[in-house]
Amino acid sequence: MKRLFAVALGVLTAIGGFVDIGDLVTNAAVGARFGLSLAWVVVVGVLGICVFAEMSGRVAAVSGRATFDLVRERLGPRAGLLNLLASMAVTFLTMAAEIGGVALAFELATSVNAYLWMPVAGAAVWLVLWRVKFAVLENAFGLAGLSLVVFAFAVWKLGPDWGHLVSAALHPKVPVTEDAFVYAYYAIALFGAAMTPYEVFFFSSGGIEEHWDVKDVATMRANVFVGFPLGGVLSLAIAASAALVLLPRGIEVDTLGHVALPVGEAVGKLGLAFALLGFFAATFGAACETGLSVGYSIAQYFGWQWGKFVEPLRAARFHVVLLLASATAVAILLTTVDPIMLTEYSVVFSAVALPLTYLPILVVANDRTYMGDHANGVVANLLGSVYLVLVVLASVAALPLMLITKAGQ
Amino acid sequence: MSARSGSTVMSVRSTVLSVWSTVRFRPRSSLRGAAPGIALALLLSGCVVPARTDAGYRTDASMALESATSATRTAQLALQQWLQGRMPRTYANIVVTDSESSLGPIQASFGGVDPPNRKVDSLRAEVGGELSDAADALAQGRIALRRSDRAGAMKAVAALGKVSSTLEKTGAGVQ
Repeated sequence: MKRLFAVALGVLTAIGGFVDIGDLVTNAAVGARFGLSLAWVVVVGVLGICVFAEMSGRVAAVSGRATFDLVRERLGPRAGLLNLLASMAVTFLTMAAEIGGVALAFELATSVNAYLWMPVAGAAVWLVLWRVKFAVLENAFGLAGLSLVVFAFAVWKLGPDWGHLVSAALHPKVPVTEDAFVYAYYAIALFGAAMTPYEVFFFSSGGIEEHWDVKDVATMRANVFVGFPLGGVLSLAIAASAALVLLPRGIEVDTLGHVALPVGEAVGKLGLAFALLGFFAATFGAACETGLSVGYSIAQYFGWQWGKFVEPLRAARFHVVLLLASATAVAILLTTVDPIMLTEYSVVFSAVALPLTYLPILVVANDRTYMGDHANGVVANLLGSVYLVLVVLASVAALPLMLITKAGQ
Repeated sequence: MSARSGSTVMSVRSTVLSVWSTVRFRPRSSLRGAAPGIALALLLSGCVVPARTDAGYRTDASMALESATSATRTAQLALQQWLQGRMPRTYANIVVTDSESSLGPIQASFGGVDPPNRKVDSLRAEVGGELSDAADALAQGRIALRRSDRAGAMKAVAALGKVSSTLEKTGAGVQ
């Protein structure tokens, strides 16, 4: 019974914790512009993150060490540093975007300017990272994030032509009013949003925080293969709601306020309250996850004591990194950069950095020195190899497409 | 399965299993060469190319009209939801204010592009006038909302609907 509860809790938090500011904004923007013709990218992205999250979770459970703890040891300090710099740059950019997202959610709830909320949000993130236990942090925000189910409810309440909706998703094509390059640019942005590097940093290091061992591999797989795809369904619901309400009116998604307009239309004030709670939980939870990922990766690379399973005094350098990351993220936001623009750039740069994140995972998960009999099998390697080709293609195409389309204009 | 196909499968299987376990990295300082490219890419992605031809100017006009339509339709939808009791005033206020704020850069951006010749001067005047009408309708909506003026908000919804239709019609005729 205890095991079943652990599985159910893990799956629910995986669903609620799947969506972050990148998923919220990119899915709504794509739905409002392309309908469901890019839904296939969400499916491809979710399968990809499942493949690599399972690998990194298995590495943590079997070796007792986080994936990136092993990267430097396995690939050497220079390759490890390249991996660290590229992944950290994107993860830090994402952290700033998430804190901006928290501030935007507060602004929508209170009408107080988001820039006044940003220092408060940054301080709150740091305080939670310092004081709150890992399990509480993960479960509270993951479960609160489930309130984003209101987007699926809104789609149902809007009473769409389901046949038309499914047909649009199953027969993807570039809309006649859109350019093929712009379509490809948004496909890469969606792919980058679904396969954000920090998700695997957090997942594997979180496994160490929760003292996973080989017995926990089944629970971990349930979280990944049930929780993540259901989280992907939430992403599709956000895109579908935008396709039903915003697309026919020619409304483009430029702010977080746009994302919940379909919920207001279908469900009303109560629905908007759920959507705002979901925005807060998704962005605050992801801000904590990205902050921890920055701290985990830097501490693991330099061989410092890390983690919330030890007292802050014993992991002082790890906690200093968390403090500096929170403060610097707020400083970036207070330059008055638009958090939504930061989000859009972060998902595209995520796509650029993907190979540097996922290649080392594939290598470490194949190393029998660490993995013994739990090293990758044929299926994991085939899927991993196919996805590695995809992430390399996305990585190579991301910046040229950004230039050609003027960032998707 | 024959012995030959069986051994082929085994061979493929062992190749797939072993390829990633033999990966080694040669230390190279590849970032040094990539940095200027990344910096240039970041710089260029923020640049605006001025219109040199009629077609380019019409594209600029079309994009300005599309963005303006998005702003006016957004504000119209938020005001309608507030009037129907589907959206709190705080939320509607932010959405309408953001829509109004987004129009300024659209006007400045389009107004800052020189028409390439006299033939498109009339288009510049037409689009500029419509963007100005959109700004007025958005301000009307924002004021009504902040005063909780339902009658004013209804008038603003009508004004926003009218200006949105005009923007869409002009946008369709521009290209």
